[in-house]
Amino acid sequence: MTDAQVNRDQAVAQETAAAGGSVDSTSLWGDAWRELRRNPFFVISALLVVLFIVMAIAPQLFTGTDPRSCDLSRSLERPSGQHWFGFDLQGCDYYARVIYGARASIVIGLAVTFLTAAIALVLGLMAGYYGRLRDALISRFADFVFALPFLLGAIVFLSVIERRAIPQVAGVLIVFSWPVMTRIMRSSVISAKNADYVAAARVLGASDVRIMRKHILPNALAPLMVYATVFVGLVIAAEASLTFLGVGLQLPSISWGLQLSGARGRILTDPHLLFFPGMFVALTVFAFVLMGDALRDALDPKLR
Amino acid sequence: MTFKKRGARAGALVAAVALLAAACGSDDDGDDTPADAPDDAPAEVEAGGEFSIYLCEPQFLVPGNSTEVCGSAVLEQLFSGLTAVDYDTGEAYGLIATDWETDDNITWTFNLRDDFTFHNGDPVTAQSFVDTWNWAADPDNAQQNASFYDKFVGYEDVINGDADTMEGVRAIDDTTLEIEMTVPFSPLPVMLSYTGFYPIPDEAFDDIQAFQEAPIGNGRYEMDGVWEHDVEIAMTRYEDWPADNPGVADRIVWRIYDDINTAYLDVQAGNLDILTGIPPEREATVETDFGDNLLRAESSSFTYMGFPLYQEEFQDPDIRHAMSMAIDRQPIIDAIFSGARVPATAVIPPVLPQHRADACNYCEFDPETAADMYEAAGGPTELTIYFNSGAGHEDWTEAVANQWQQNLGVTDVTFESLEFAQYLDLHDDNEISGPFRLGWVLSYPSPQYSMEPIYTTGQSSNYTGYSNEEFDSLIAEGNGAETPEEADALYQQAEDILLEDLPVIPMWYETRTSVFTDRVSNVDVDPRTFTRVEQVQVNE
Amino acid sequence: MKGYVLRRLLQFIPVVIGATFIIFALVFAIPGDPIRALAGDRPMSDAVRETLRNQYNLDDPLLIQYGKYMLALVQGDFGTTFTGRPVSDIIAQRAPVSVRLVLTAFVIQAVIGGIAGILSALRRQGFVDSLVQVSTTVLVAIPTLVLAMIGQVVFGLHLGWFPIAGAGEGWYSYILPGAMLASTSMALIARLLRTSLLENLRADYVRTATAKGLSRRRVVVRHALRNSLIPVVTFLGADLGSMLGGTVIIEGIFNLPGLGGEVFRAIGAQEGTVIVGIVTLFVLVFVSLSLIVDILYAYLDPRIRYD
Repeated sequence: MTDAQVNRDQAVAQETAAAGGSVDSTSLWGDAWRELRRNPFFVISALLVVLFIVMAIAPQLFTGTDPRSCDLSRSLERPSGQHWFGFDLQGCDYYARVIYGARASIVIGLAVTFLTAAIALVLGLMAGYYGRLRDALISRFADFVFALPFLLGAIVFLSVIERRAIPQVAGVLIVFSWPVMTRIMRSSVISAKNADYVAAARVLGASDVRIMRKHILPNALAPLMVYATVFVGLVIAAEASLTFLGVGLQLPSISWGLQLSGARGRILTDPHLLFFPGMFVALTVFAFVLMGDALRDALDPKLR
Repeated sequence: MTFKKRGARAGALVAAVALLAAACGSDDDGDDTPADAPDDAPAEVEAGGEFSIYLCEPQFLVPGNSTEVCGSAVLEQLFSGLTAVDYDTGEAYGLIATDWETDDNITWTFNLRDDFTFHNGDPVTAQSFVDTWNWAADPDNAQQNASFYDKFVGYEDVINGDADTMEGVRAIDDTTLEIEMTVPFSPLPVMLSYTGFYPIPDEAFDDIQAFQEAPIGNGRYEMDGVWEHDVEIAMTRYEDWPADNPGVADRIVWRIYDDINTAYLDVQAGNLDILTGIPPEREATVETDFGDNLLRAESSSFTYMGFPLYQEEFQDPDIRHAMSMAIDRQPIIDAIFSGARVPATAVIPPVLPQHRADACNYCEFDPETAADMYEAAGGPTELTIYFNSGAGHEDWTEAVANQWQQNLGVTDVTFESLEFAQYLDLHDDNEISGPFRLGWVLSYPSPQYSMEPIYTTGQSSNYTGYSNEEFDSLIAEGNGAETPEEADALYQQAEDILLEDLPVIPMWYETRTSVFTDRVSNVDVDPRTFTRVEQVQVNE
Repeated sequence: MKGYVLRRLLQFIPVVIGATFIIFALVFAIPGDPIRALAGDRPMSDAVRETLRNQYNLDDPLLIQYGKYMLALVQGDFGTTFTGRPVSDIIAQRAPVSVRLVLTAFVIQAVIGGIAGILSALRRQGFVDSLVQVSTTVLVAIPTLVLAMIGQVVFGLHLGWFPIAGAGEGWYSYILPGAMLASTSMALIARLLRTSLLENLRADYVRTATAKGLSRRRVVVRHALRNSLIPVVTFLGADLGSMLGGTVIIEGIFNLPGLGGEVFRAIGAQEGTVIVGIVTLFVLVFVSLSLIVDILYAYLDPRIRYD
């Protein structure tokens, strides 16, 4: 790894987080939490996130209409007092469809993020802490994947898969997104590793595992957390894009991506088809990005 | 792009395209009296001028290799066949052939005109046809239309490498061509109007790749420059074309579009003169957009839902009847296609004179009968529905699925949308487990072609696995019938059997909408959805 | 420096081979026979199919196919499509469209994002700053897909400022799709530049420069801004990869006949040569850009030296 690459990784991490170094970790998280509670953006975004998660778990709390009961004769009816979002092409209640669409997005967003973060955590720790061969192997492999344009890679990969439901789409998104998070993790592990207190711990005879767990992880975790929060939003957008292109989720799934895809040919005549799922996708992504922002501000001691 | 708009892709997927009209021009008693060439050009038409017309990027510009609309539309202007079809009377007439005779529908003799020339000056002779067809049949040349020769004697030997030429295709002299069939085949003259039977000049065989960049044909128009991929193909009228109804305009520019939406906007803006096959989502507004400059034409493009008859649960005909009767076709057509389809009530399409509107007993919507019948026959409550992706089939298959759920008590529906290649492979391996969508366009206008390739035992396009001896023999008898009337009656009997067995649910026939600018008139679209470009008049 | 560039160029080789092999193997794994898809509903005869499969090496094992492909590629032969058209022709024809789109987007995001970032840093807490903060948050949150469709309806259809679709009006046709493609990155650049400029303005060397009596303009432009550009340049380099991917969506929505749309069509038709050809091109562009970015570092930050 060249100097320039180290620099780049840090720069990438810089926008998402600039935490790390020899800050006492307990106080870092404690301070961050106090700060967060006072941040109106965090409160708003957290409320939105909770709202969408509830919508994903229990859509029937928001609508009593069955999204699968459709009547062709009501096809493409405009929004009205009774049916707030109007009807889709098949004559299904669009409000119910959009509400039920939250589940696919939220599940994919959270699942991909947790799994990718777990992979990044392990690989980043190994590469950053042990360096040398392990670092070279992991970093080079990340380079291969990173050199493929994300969306293109995902499209080709997904065309190989015949039946595409949530697990398949999530899997492909993980395959193509782990390098970025791994790099962020690796850089923050490297900067934490070089801190004086880690050297001190090592002199005192602490084991690798103990050093990683007690000293490096708590400090290196902040940038990953921040990026991961934003990442949920990015994944949701990516899923919608792939589904829109016809290589993501398939019928009879109900998803915002499928709704956007259906709206595509009709945006000139039936803009409500675009507007409602588009608004929901945007709001969900917005909530996670905003939350990530607030988290970064709270965790970055330099901006305080 | 697949992403490439639905229309364009759908067009490319509809395979085999060719002439469509009615009846065969053959004569039973060996007398040579084929239908006269029609007097096509209306008296008031004034020749001259130039216009532009929409085209999708062709796959190939070699007659033997072009199976899709984009290439064939261009080729039929650049080339002329032995026969052609008159769209007013619906009969085959001689174009290069002056007349033809047969005693048994097996051995056919075609007499040719001696004044047709290729655009490079070479004469078109009986030998031109023999050479072209032998070349196209040779598997080394990988011509996709080769299978259209499969009823010529000697085709199998060429395919197997046992012979270089087809024994059944012989040039007696420059103006006499003899064709020998393996079985009686009365629709031969109609079939010969198809793209795959146009002759190509000798120089094409040297380098076919170079040839198709600027094909040298024998048709009404000749290439003006080369095929500019993804941009345009220009052609000018060939003044030495000897027949009675030459092209009207001096020059035609086929403008190639990736996307029909862009083309539609270009016609609105006056940058393009004719677009045949507007984007489906424009159907709703096309009347306000174009007023009188609009033409809706019925076509032979047939959509059906096939049953995998090799699966246990679809073997009871009552299940198939019930599923057909549970579909309310008109509301689907209105909602999804803005009315641009005609509900199918037969298998022989309404653009053929042999069509009978009341042929199908199970194509009318009757939810109560359907529900009872389905329950009595023990129809499956879980269904997987198959269609090929990216070609605009998502919306209507979903609507059909909804109706089956509502009317038949089907509780669980899964969709399998696959890329076309995968889709066909599943069919080959008999791995389809539910109703599947497929389509059929008539390559040549015969009731025989609307049934034989799809429903007779063991045919390459028979994806349902349907096999009924009585049906097979009726088709064979029709092919060997002595008079056209006799043939039609036999084909219709075969159709009755088909509609009783119902191996496929007939869904609808496509209506193709065309729009054009004020600069052109006499725009006409034939039942194959091809614009009759040679008749288009430019108003100066 | 020369040695460094050479070493980096050598590193290209495994990255390009690795990335193309991944794609090649995936295309190989797509089920279904692409030759059959060529013919449509009416299948071609087995004999013809056999000839074509041979012609395109489709019956060879993966490694042999890949070997044959790479061997030809090294000699500058990108292969042909299943209709016999050279892939290099397609690339030559469509690349200009994608290049124009990406360039337009690049200029938009660099100029607008840059100006917004600088203004908001210089007027911290002011009206402009708040405006930039809010609008960038919103822009980052709206997925390109949704934004592009909304942009098409609003600016193309209702306001009529730009063509709804197609590349018919020259460079002008690229402004709206370019802006939509640039939206997310534009917002990120503005925020990145703001953060790093603020940091640099507080740095000791800026205070020194100001103390020396240099004008504020000179301090900001020559010292603080130059250093603040480092993360932005990094970002621009890394961002190009996602932008190349984004062309698939944007070219689709706006019907631009570029490479992104073509590769998507090719995936549907399983045209391995087209997919691998275009993706290889994207990978090459991407890794070359990373190299240029790294060289720019040396220029922007004299502390970085390559041996």
